[in-house]
Parts: sequence; C-alpha cells; structure tokens
Amino acid sequence: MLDFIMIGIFIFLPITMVGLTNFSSSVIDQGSEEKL
Amino acid sequence: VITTILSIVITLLVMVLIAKPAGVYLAKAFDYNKTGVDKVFGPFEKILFKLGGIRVVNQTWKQYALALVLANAFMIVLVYFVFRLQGMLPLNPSGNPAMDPTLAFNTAVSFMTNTNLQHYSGESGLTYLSQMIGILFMMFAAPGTALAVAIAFVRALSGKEVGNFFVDLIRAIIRVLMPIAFVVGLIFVTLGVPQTLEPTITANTIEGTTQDIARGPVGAFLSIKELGNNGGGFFGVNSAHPFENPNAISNFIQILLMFLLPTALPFTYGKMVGNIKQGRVLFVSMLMIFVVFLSTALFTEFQGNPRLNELGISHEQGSMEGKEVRFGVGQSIFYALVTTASETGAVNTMHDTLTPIGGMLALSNMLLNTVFGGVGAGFINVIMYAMIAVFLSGLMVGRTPEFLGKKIEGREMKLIAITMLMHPLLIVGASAIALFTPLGTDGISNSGFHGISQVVYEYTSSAANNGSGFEGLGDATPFWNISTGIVMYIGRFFGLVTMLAVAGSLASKKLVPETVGTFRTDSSLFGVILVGTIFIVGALTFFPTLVLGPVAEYLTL
Repeated sequence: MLDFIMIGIFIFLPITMVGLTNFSSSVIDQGSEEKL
Repeated sequence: VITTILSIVITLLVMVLIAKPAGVYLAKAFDYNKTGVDKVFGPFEKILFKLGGIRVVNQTWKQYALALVLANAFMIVLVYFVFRLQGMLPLNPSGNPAMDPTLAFNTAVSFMTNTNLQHYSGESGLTYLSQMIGILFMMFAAPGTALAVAIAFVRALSGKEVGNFFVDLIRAIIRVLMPIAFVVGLIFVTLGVPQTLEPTITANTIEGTTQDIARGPVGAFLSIKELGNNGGGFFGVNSAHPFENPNAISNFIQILLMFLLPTALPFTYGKMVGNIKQGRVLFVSMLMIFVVFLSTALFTEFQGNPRLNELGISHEQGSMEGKEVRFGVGQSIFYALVTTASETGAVNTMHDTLTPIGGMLALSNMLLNTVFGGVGAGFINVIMYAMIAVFLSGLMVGRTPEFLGKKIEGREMKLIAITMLMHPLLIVGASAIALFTPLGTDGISNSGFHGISQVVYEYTSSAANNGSGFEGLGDATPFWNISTGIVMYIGRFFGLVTMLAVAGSLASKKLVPETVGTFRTDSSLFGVILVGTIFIVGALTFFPTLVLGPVAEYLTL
C-alpha cells in the first residue's frame, strides 16, 4: 500500500515541475509590456 | 592553534590557486565548438550518444527543463525499486533486508537531488548492489545534472543557445566527474580507504571479545561523494570513520574536492561571457563571506563550552564535544563550514554538538545557499542574487537594470521573486508543520531552544540539498522521510526550472549598448552590493528563525 502512495508522490512531483515550466513560460511570454 | 590556522590558510590558498584553471577547463569541456578536450573524450561520448540515440541538437530552455525534470524522475523511480528489492538482488553478502517504502522514497529523492540526507546507516541499510548501482550511480548523475544546467544557464546569459541536456549531462560525467573521481579514488585507496566486495569481517579484540568491522567499495564512493558535493557516507558516521577519512591528508583532499567545482564555476562563467572579471568579482565576494563565517566559527569553538569552562575544566583545545579527536577543533570546524558552504553534507564531526554560534554559522551557509553553494545549483543562486543586486541598484538610481547588457524586466523579476521565496517557504513552512504536530516533535531529542534548531537544520539541509543533519533528531520515521523528501525535491528542481526560464528570457533579448551610466557588474563596488544584498535578504528572511533557535540557545547557555 505504502509503495503505491510513494509512487503516487513520484508522479505528482514531476507533474508539478512540468506545470511550473509551463507557468514560467507563460510569465515570460506575457510580460514584455511591463517594463520597469 | 597556530598550526591549525596555518593549515587552514594553506588549504584555502591551494583552493584559490586551482579555482581559475578548473573553471577555464569546465568552459572548454562544455564548449560545442571543437576544443582539445574533444580529442580525449570525444570517442567515448560518441559511443554513448549512439547507444542513447542522442543527437547534438540545441534545445529551447523549456525543452531543456523538461528533459531535466523527466530524466531525473525516471532515475528516481528506477533506484527506488532497487532499494525496495535489494534483499532479493545479488551482491548482498551481509544479508541486508529491503528498505521500507518511505525510507526508500527518501533515499532515492535524497541522492537524485544531490542532497544525500541519510535516514539509514550504510553498513546495515544498503547492500553493495544498492551502494553501487543506486547510490554511486546517482552520485554521478545528480551533480552531472546540476553542472549541465549551470552551464546551459551561463550559455543563455552569454547570448548563445541553451544547448542539449543529454549532451551536457554526459559531458559532465565523462569529462569532469569520472576522470577526477577515478584518480582521487585511487589516491584514497593508497591512503588506506578500503575498496573491496568482501563482507563485514569479525575481528577478535585484545579484550577477548569480537567486533564486526564493516567494509566495502568505499574508495570509489568517497571521491565522488566529495567531488560531486554529494556528501552521503558509506558508513553511518560519514567522514569521521577511519575507513572514510583515514588521516590529515585525506581530510585535506576531501576539503579541496568539496570546493573544487563550486569555486571553479564563477571563472567558467567569466570565461563563457567573455570577461573573466565578471567571475572573479563573484568568486571574491563569496570567499569573503566564507572567510568571515569561518573565522567567527573558529573563534567561538576555540572558546569552549561556557558551562564546562565554569567547572574549571581546561578548554585549551576548544569545545571537543562531538569532535573527532584525530582532527581536533580546527579541522572539524573548517570541514563543517566547507561542507555546508558547498552544500556537500559530508561530515567529520557531529554538527549537533557544535557551539550555538558555530552551529548557527553552519546553518547560515545553507540558509543563504549562495556561499559558493553546491555544484551548479549554488552558482545559479549566486547569479540570482546578482540579478537582485542589479535590480535594487537600478531602482535606487532610477535606471533600467541591466545584466550582461540585457534589460532585466518585470517578467524576469517575477520568476526570481518566486524562486527566492520558495527557499524560506520550504524551510520555515515545513519546520512550522513539524513543530506543530507530535509526528515532528517526537523526534526532537532536546527540549530547549536547541530542539528548534534540530528541526530547522533538518529542513534547511533538505531545501538547500546539503544533507548533513543535527543528528540528535530522530528522523527515521515516515513523517520525516516523506516531508524531507518533498522538501528536497522542490528545493532542487524549482529553482533550476525558473532560473532556466529567466536565462532563456534574457537570451532572447537584444543587447543594450554600454554607456557611461551603465552599472558595471565586474567592479568591486558591485561585489560589495552583492554581499550586502545577500545579507539583507538573508537576515530579513531568517533572522526570527535564528533568534528562536541558536541565538536563544547562546544567550541562555
């Protein structure tokens, strides 16, 4: 049982990082007009 | 004391002397144009590229980041199953059982994230197969990954394409980690470190009893443990064990190895962006912080423990509690500060028994995570702080901040801000949860302020991918295994992904011509501002935590 939970976390963590990659990409694409 | 100080100064001088040539070598090793390094390693790499179906094709930053995340995820799962099945697999002469699921999870994540936090003891927790194809494999793959990302990051900063993750990873292993680790591994063996597949031996002592003496393939393990800023010990007591650190020379080599790649990378950066002074400023700034921390820690440890001093016990040798007698206070503290600055996590002394201020400085190295930092990941953090310094300076004088001729705008600062906030969030957030629940507090072995330090140290070490611990903490439970595992994972990959995005964003921008008003980032003034920025951000973020832990302990001792 614990093995399944661990594998679940193994799948969840990389997915969050893939999500972060897409989020970072969208931040870069949208932000060009906001010059500081 | 004078001999100790002299030996430390000599070690630091050697470190400074080899940093630049090592940095220049790294720049050549990862250059996609033909260099002399290709002649030596090219043929081996071609075979590996063919076997892996790798083409030397540039990726976008996003493809690079995804390759990094997914390749690492695959390796973690693979090694998890090795740990879970080790009891049934070969090379298990001592008959060690399988790891339990949460411990296998923690260990797999720990070694793949370059942390090497160990909630097990190597002698009894792992088989030789697990040590070699699990631990040793990841000890090359993890620093190789971070080194690859750091190089890709600098490539993008210098206006070039990001490169290819798989090519860089293989180059990091074949051109940097393997040759050095092989040669130094042989040196360790000649110094008395065992390298054998024979099982634990039983010896008859002169007292007439028997003693089990663990051994194994330690030499190969030890060199990459230090060179790759891994830090996980073959034996439970790590480099305090005579088989893992036999004498003063092995101690000296280990310290040099820990700092070799982190101190070389600023010069690699300088070389790759075409201005070595850019790298030198970063190197000197980090060295200054390190020297201040080291001097303070040495001073406080040589003062001894005030409670014991009051009893009239001689403290000529300093605070010897938890120190390995063979190395004494000086070499123990030097090692402790190097291992936390370089995020290695190898130890030759018990960090839990450092004096409050000594422990606080070891902790601070990991909280800042920029005093050179671990191979690759630490350097990326340094550049992140450099960009923050440029941004703040720009705000103060009312100019658009520029870094290496590229404008830093809102989009980059947004990503830098969330990256900067993630580190304290992981540490303080996870510590708060642990201190709030019995699952966490049950592991604390000290009921005073030091108990808070134990918890904060554990999560700081995890988030900064260091791996050392205040070992008074009873951390071999499912709660600690899972919580530190998640902290290690996010602590590792979050910053790598977001900072790759920042570099990718800067790479796509046009160069802004330099004018008299441009704030130069290769000047000593910039070095001072950078150090100031690191301290201000670090103090604002972590001062309350330090007050509750080591500072309160110091004041009440």
